[in-house]
Amino acid sequence: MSVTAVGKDHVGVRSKRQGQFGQVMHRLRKNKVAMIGLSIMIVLIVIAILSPWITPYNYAKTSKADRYALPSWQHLFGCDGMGRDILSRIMYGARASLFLGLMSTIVATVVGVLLGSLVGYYGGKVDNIVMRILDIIQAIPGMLLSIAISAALGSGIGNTILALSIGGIPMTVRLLRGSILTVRKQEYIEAAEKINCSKWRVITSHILPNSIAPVIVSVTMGIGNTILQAASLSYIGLGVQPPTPEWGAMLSEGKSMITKYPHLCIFPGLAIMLVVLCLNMLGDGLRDAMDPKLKN
Amino acid sequence: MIRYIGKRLLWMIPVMLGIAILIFSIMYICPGDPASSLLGPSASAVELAAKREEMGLNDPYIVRLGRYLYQTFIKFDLGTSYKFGTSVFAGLMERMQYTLVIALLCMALQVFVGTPLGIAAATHHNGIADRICMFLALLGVSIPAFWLALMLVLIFAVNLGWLPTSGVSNGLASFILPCIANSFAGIASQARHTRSSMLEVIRSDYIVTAKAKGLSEKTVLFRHALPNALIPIITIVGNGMGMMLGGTVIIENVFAIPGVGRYMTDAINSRDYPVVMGGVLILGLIFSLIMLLVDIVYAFVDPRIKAQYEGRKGKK
Amino acid sequence: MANKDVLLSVKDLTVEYTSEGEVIHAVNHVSFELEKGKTIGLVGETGAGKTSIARAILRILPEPPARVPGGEIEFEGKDLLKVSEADMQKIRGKEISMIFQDPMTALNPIMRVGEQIAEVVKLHEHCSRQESIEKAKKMLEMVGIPGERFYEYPHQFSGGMKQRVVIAMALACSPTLLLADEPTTALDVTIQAQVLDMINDLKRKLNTSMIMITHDLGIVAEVCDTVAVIYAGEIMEYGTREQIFHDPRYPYTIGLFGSLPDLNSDVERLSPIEGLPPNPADLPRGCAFHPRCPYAGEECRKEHIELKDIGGGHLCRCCRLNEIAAGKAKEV
Repeated sequence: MSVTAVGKDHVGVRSKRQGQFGQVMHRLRKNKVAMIGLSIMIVLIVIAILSPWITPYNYAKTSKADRYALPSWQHLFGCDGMGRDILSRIMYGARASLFLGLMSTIVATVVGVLLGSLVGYYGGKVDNIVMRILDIIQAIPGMLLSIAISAALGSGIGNTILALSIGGIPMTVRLLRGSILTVRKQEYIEAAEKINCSKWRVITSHILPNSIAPVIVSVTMGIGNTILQAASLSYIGLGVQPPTPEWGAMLSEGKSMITKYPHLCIFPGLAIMLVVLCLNMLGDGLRDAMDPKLKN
Repeated sequence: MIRYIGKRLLWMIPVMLGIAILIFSIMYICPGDPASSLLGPSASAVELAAKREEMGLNDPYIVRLGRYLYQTFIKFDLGTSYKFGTSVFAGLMERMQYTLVIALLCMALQVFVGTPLGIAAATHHNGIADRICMFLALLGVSIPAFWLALMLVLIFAVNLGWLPTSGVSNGLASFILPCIANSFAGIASQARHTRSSMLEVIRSDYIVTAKAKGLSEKTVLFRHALPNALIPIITIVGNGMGMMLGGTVIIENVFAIPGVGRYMTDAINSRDYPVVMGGVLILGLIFSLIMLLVDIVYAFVDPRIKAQYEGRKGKK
Repeated sequence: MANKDVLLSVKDLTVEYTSEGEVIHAVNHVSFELEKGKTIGLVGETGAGKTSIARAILRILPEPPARVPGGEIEFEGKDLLKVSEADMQKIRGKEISMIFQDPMTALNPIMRVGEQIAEVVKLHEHCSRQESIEKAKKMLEMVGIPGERFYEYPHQFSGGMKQRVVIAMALACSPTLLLADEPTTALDVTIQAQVLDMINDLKRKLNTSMIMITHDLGIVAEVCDTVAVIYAGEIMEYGTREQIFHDPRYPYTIGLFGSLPDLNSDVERLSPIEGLPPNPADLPRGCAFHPRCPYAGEECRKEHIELKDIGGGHLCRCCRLNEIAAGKAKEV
């Protein structure tokens, strides 16, 4: 004996999702902080791509006269111990730093999503084995693992990406698995299975789209974190090595002269901070946009 | 409950075995020759070959792995440092004090500074205090710890001369800058998580129920909201400990602190594998124990989880 | 009116929510009175603003985004919208208490069930801890839960039992006014009846007045003395239970009865109300119900329609009563 509104629950899953995406973008666009982060990120990416053509000096050009030059109108951020223009090196170094952060996160995410959806969907034995292996990887503090792998594989961009991404896989798997386990119990998944959707289709078009939101947020934040880790690796002499300009490596080169010439360290560090800050601003905005109940 | 703890402790054995195999394999593919780094560049080829044979470096992977596992898990011996010729375990223990002091101090800072900041931000949601707290927290998770360390040294040690630049010879004062640098991100992330957890809980129905009872805002906040909000934070604290342990590796390098982290980075550079493997194992063990502690604490604060551990099903 | 024993009188109550720049008009100029010991039913679809009315009375709306821009809530001579927060805290839980809709989430998951009842007792009766525990156990027993379950946690209780705990909590300090927000919606039908009987019993015992919020006309028939039919945040029809049940005039009310299955007549299909409730951020001009109303005419779309007394205190917000009556006559 009850009167309920009819029709509300019959909105298709698919159209609802697209509507959700539109809503998320709409809310994200309204978030000033996130938009500032995004804009600065876009500018930085453009600088990184165009750096071979737009840096004021060649990043590798040494000059005896300019050794340890302090910031001036000629060299806005000063010069390093070999007289190389720091601004140019930071602009060029954005390539390595951004590329490292982005690629490591992408590798970790792709592997993590594949594994996560497998274990989340199949559960049982597969789940048990994979999760136990991840337990082992996660029992080693992340930074330590990256250092060890990086030492084993040697330096260079490719190896550093591998070293950084392995540490990031378990978290993505866990996040996605947890999210999938909740989604799996929903009735529309059962409905999709009952109408004989293939497993692949159930996973890719029903489960993943509905459980990926936390992963997207963590990826955005993860890029920033990975950039921090990459810089730390370069700083202790692993990861990307000089003379390739990379922000962590520049800091590492400059640290011995920090008391006399602090500008060697200040500017590369500020660059790292700016990038990570922008990514976090964007990530925060995404999270709020996807989960609007946390705002207001 | 005790059965659960026992089970978890037993489970740590395969985890430690796994860590040992993993780290051994990583070290196995490490380029470089421990024999040559041990004997120095002046050693002849014959000497090198003899040394390699003596160290068992010529045996196949599986034999060496078996030997390492036997030595570690049956004889409880982490081996001898190639470089120093001393026991790895003793070397680690000797340096552990510094690492643990830093990690624990950092943890304390994270919990006791980060949590109140997060609560303050959540209770002044969207106010000025909230915005300032959250901007600082966002900055905090974005600053590279080692760079912050360098800047702190530059300001407080070099320019102001208040604190030592490096080493551990000045007692507690030596640990101030390393701890601030290492815990800054932790404090920030603790504040962020506390705030969002708090905001989520404040919206729960049972908080409305509590308000409807006529409880004062303070009572609602501290008796009903906070305990619920802190539950998910426990995980953050546990993960934070892992971050701090990993972070000390970098921080010890910046401040030249003779802790486990520095021992290990030196060992990586000089191909002193037993030290690297032993260090990873011990830190992994500590971290696993902390995560177990986290899960036990969960059971004490959340009756639902306790029931789960005890295998008793709640009536639903 | 003066000689009636009025406990609560709500006048012109308005509640708005602001969400992403849009203003949502949840409650629009709602007025009603409630006598001591009586029960008023607020009936309407989900989202009609019933819960907002109750929460506004208890001043536990989430502010922001909610706002009460106008109105008066007179309770025992005080305007609840004007008393200080500290005074309000003394009223909440003691003089006015609320039973919440979803028992699954209404209890603090990490606090012992009994503790949650004892807490409100201790707060308002200023008794010792031991006394409050005794009272809480007594309350548990009163709602049919053994006192020794005081020390258990909500997750150890079934949904029906949790709802009983919520009820025990609400009645612990013998409130003069009870706000019951769909107290049985989340429960199984068999338990619904039990819970309802229990509320009725307790109410009689303690001589409590009640606002029963529901979308279930069956419950209204069982417990309410007066009924207010709410649609889009407005009272559309108001009258005694007999007036509403025997002589519904407003088309929406008529529609509500039309969508009930009638066991006595042999009809193949129910006649539901066509369409969906209006978007509260963008209410239609004129009568809020006109887009779904089978009797709507030109004047319904033009301007806002006032509540009119159509005899014996039976109020109705409709300008086409004659047409409706004529239509009905033709059907018969």
